[in-house]
Amino acid sequence: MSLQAPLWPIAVARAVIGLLWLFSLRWKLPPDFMPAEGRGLMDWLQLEVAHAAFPFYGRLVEQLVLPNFTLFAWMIFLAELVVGLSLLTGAFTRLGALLGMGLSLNLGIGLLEVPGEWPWSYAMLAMWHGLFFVTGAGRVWGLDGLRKRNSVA
Amino acid sequence: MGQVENRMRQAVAILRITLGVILVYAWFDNLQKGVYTADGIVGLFNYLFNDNGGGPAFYRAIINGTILQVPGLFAVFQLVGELLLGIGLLVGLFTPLAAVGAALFFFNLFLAHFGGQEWIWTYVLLTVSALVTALTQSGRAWGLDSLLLKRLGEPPRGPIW
Repeated sequence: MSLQAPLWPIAVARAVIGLLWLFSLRWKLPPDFMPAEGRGLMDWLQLEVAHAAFPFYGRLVEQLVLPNFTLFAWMIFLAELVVGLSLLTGAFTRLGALLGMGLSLNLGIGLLEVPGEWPWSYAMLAMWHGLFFVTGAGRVWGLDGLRKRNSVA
Repeated sequence: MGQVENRMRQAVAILRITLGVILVYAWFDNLQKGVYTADGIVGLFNYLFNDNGGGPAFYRAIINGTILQVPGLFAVFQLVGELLLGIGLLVGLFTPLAAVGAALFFFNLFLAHFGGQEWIWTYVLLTVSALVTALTQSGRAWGLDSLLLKRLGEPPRGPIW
């Protein structure tokens, strides 16, 4: 059986998903974490409370996250920025992938019952991060590969 | 490097199977909702273009000039095509062909939803997943394509397994 499979398609997917995270920052930009129009981070968190699939998670958002909105908004913003840049450039990809998988699962759990949301999106997003982690996707067309080559030389 | 490549192909195989499950599940759902009928197809595009507000002008013109001229015929094509793509990906049979077909289908959905109310990246994810499935020939891990490869060797006319 042939084991020869190209690794570059994974690298392209990594960059595309990096862009996905960076584009998603548009509606949670500081200082108010609101877009010019449409729903912002606060609206989505409130939807997670109103349509919580897991009561514990809904209570957590309602009693911990919303009262400390600015702190959590900065944490979410910075985490997504780090994941986006890590995947786009292929730097510290395994770390970025692990963080991205956590963010994807959190989104999936929080938005599972929110009307109009499709849970498969977040399942696939989490799966992709798992794939980047397993394959060390930054080694092809990424800064991780460049760093490795430099350290060998 | 071989082990890494095999692990990568197995990881993509999980993605392939997920895409197959999504397509087969959506097929059953659409069948129950009557989407695969002339009225169902017209209703679907009416929803996409008017209620959801998606679809660039050039795309609407293409759909209006082609599919919506023969919705009954397209309904049959969609009924058979979507099921074949789903099963092909699920069992990993002729995976590159099934995956390219799925990528075109998902890209079509991307265009239909573009500018609408839904999260457009869902369709980007689906299209990219299908393309990567095709390019990595992921049916060679945990799929029937691995049996074809063992019995017949590399395909003589292009990577169809």
